[in-house]
Amino acid sequence: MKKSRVYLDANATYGGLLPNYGLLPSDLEFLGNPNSQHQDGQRARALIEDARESVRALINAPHSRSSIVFTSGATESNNGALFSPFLEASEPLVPSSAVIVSSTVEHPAVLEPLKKIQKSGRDHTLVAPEPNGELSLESILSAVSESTRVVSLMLANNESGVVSNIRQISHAVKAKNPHVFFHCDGVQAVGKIPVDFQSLGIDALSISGHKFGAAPGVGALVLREESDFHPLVLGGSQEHRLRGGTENVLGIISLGRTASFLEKNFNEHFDALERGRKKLAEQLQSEIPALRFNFSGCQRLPNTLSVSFEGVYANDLVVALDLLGVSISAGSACSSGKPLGSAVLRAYGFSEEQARQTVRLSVRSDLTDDEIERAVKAFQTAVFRMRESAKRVA
Amino acid sequence: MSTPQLSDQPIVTAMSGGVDSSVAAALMAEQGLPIVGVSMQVWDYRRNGGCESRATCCSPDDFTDARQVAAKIGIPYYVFDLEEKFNKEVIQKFIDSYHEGETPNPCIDCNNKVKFRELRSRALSLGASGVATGHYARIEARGDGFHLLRGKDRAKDQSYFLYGLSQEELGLTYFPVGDFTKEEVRELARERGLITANKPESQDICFVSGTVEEFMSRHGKTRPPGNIVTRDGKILGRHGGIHTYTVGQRKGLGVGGQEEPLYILEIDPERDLVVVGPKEALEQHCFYVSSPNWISPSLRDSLSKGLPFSFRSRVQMRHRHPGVLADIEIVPGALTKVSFVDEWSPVSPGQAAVFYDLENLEVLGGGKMERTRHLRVLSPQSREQTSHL
Repeated sequence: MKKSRVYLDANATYGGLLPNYGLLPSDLEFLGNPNSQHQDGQRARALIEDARESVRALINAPHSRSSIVFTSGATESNNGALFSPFLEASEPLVPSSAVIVSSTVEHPAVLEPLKKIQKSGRDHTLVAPEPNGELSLESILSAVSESTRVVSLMLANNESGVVSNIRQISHAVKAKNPHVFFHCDGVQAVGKIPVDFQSLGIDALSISGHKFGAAPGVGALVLREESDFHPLVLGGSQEHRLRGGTENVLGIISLGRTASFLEKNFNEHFDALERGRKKLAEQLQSEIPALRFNFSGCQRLPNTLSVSFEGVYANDLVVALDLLGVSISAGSACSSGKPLGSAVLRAYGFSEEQARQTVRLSVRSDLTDDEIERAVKAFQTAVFRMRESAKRVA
Repeated sequence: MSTPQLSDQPIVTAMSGGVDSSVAAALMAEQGLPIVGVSMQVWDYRRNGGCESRATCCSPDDFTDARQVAAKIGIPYYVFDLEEKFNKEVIQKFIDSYHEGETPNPCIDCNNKVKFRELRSRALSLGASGVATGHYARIEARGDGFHLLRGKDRAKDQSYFLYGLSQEELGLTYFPVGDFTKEEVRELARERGLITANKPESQDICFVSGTVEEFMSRHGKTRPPGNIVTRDGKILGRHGGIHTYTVGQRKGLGVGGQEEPLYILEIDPERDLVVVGPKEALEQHCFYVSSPNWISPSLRDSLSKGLPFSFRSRVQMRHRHPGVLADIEIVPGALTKVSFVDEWSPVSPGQAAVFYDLENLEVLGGGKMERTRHLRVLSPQSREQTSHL
């Protein structure tokens, strides 16, 4: 019998946090269309509304002050938030003025919509992070002007794990230009650090279920003002006419149950994530020479490690570790297709060589000491072999 | 195929997304070996374009097919990014070679310098014990070392492309389809329900879209126009740059109306001349080969003595060329001389000459054909340059 694998890629997808993704046998028996009049439909509707309340509780987004729109995931949420202000734009275009401010380390689910919007004449400015990995308030404020309509910044970065002080930034941005629609990609943050929608002072927050342990294929867009929002997906009148299409009922139930569990057990969950990451880092540090932990001076996600192994290419290490039963990830490849290492790490100012030698480890809360030990052994084997083989070639 | 040793160490199988490598992977996996499927991305089609015909290996669609086959036979599968190596070892050499008036064979460079070498080094760094590919060739382990033999299907045989393999590489390599014909391989694929069973052959040079001329000019590697001349220096016309011509070429010269058909005899990169003449003038009795690689264990044994020696062989000068008899003279420290015995065959500088045994079954070695500067009589001064290189 093969030893089971060790999973260190929770930021890619967490995997079920609850048994069966939180679904109960009764959920699977029969549910009507939540938009139907009959009782079969009403039962589904009730489950969806329960889920909505659970999400509200997790991120402090009370009914009176916000709307939760269920979507197919964070990519749809980001697209919706970014396109919305321009879908029914009536104001004349001012060519070559930047109407959107964002950052160079955003996810493609933000950067690609920005490129598309740019083609309609609405340009954007991308702010680069400081050398230590943090976004500086000053550089964001200096990019925001009277013509800025949208600011979109992520709460926590998927590769570096760096957490930005969105609350401070959003308040300062709104003080400078109160008309800004402030969107925040909260995909990696929600479920890993405390997120308070109200106090963040933002207009929209994107959430992804599978990143914190719900089933894949469901997410939410949290809006401060429904009336500001122009939906991207048109169809039936579901989700207060903000998102057409029959709801992903099972996905939404899973999202709600997972959110509810996290809300009730948040401190334990956070501590377990942090404990796993710290222990993994300590053991790697003590067992493997010539490695470097990145972004350690920043406020970071409790579960994420960015590590560079000297002389070892990340893409090769991912394969080697996979064959040894450990799942990790290298950064997402540069969009140009050239093997320059992760585009995000390059945007953080990493040299090509360093970016290519950097991997991301992201732990689940149930990572055991035995798994950590096995993972570190696999790292030792793989890193040693790859360094030896590099010597042979040289 | 020698029987691989059972061990925990995986064998890395190159999967191009074609039927041959799909069956190779399946056959290896069926022996109960721990197999890892790997595709090598050498060219970014989305960024750089390439043949639209899809009759190439390594396109993103091919990787989708390879991934599906790997899933079907139940092996892990990865894509290795070898673009940088490919650009350096294949594309730049291709461009330089045409630029110098040669006719390169990029598939040989890709096989030897990128695919095999990188596949092997990455496989070893993953702790693998060997590599397998879908080439139509066979490797036999005998008492004196490894022998590279033609594949069972002579029409599909690819041993010509593999002359650059070392003894060490042969010892780590498996060619599972070398013992089958193409039809048998397709049948094996169909029996296993592999989606690549009926996929067409790959043929074109994967990174060249349009003509070589267009490719060269996109890379800013054009040559100045020059004269098309006869052997005695008579100017017959103009050409647009030597980089678009190949020795032995007859069509497309734009110097029609001559008494007899004219062939390109020589391309002179120093003076940007294309020299033409009658077919007989292409005939040469010998040519030289550089950067040879010797596979045959007995030849390697002779070479190790460091003394000149010669042997007779059947030399194959192009893919699918039937080969001609030649005497090979090896002088340590000098170019290898190849002298035709009876028939001759046109020499394309830059292409590979591969030496087979007299039964035409086994690859003894091979090398790159060099331009033979024995064409004469352009001007009195040029005679001084007629010595061999």
